[in-house]
Amino acid sequence: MKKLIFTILILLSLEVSSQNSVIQEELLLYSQFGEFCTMCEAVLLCEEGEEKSYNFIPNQGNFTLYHLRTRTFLSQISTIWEFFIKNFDGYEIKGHKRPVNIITIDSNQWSKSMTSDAEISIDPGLIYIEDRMINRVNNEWMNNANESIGFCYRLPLWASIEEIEKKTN
Amino acid sequence: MNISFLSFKNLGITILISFRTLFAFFWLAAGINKLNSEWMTSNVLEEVFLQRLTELPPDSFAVLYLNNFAIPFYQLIGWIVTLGELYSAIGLLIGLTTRCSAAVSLFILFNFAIGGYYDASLLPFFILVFLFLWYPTGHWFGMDSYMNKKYPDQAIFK
Repeated sequence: MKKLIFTILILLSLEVSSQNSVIQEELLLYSQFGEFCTMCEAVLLCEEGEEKSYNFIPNQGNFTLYHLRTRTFLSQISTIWEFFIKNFDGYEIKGHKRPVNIITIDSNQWSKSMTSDAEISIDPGLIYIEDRMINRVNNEWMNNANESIGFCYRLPLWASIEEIEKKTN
Repeated sequence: MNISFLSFKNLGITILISFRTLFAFFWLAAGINKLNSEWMTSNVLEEVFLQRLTELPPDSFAVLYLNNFAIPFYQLIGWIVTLGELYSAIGLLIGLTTRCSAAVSLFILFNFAIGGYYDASLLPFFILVFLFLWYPTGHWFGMDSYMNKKYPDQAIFK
């Protein structure tokens, strides 16, 4: 009987861990090594209102662009520890910080790029940038009162970076 | 003067052997993780490379490397990296064929770097690998000391 209960517990724990991995893989900016990778960049477009779909930076509208940059030199060095510890169950690092460029577009008026820090977290699945948060599960854009104000969309990287450089330089 | 030089040398040897052990544990954990992730028997590595392609500048050397070498030969690379990491880990841990283990580590690290997985975290590994190649750490602490006495003509135990 004890063996049966033990086996069931093991199977349940395996099921939970496999469910977790499936959920994590669906997170915004998740990469194959368990977290948004060190040298990866991404461009997110966040807009207030209902959920839509964007594959490029639109010509019209009011929105915010977040260009998440590669991790800093020291932060890259710290990944040695992160890679080592992730080999042991339950000891994974749950997030990291990296630079982000923020550009606001107000009726086709592009602001200058402002540099800040983005904190990318796996648990909870959130990205913190200044006074905003992005829910990595459902892509909701939230204010610091935890209220949903809109949605964020990941744009094609290289075309978006080119467009940003053209408009902000 | 002599005593302080010897103390300094012993300290250096102890530090290098400690780093060699840590390096070996890191490689061992990574190798076991790759075994468990089925790098040698499934197409998981191909998926890793295909994902990486979308994250790299399209005109970079890493894209060329992935498209023309890494992706077509992903299974072979899975074997080389997994077994290479395990061999290096054991070699560095017990100090057996230490310099050869370090050379295999260097080969794997170099391929990580040109395959688009370069970042600052590789620098300490490169520095350590060069130190393990340069100094006879397997003779200071490891099986190489014994094996070299037994087989003095075998370069692999030097």
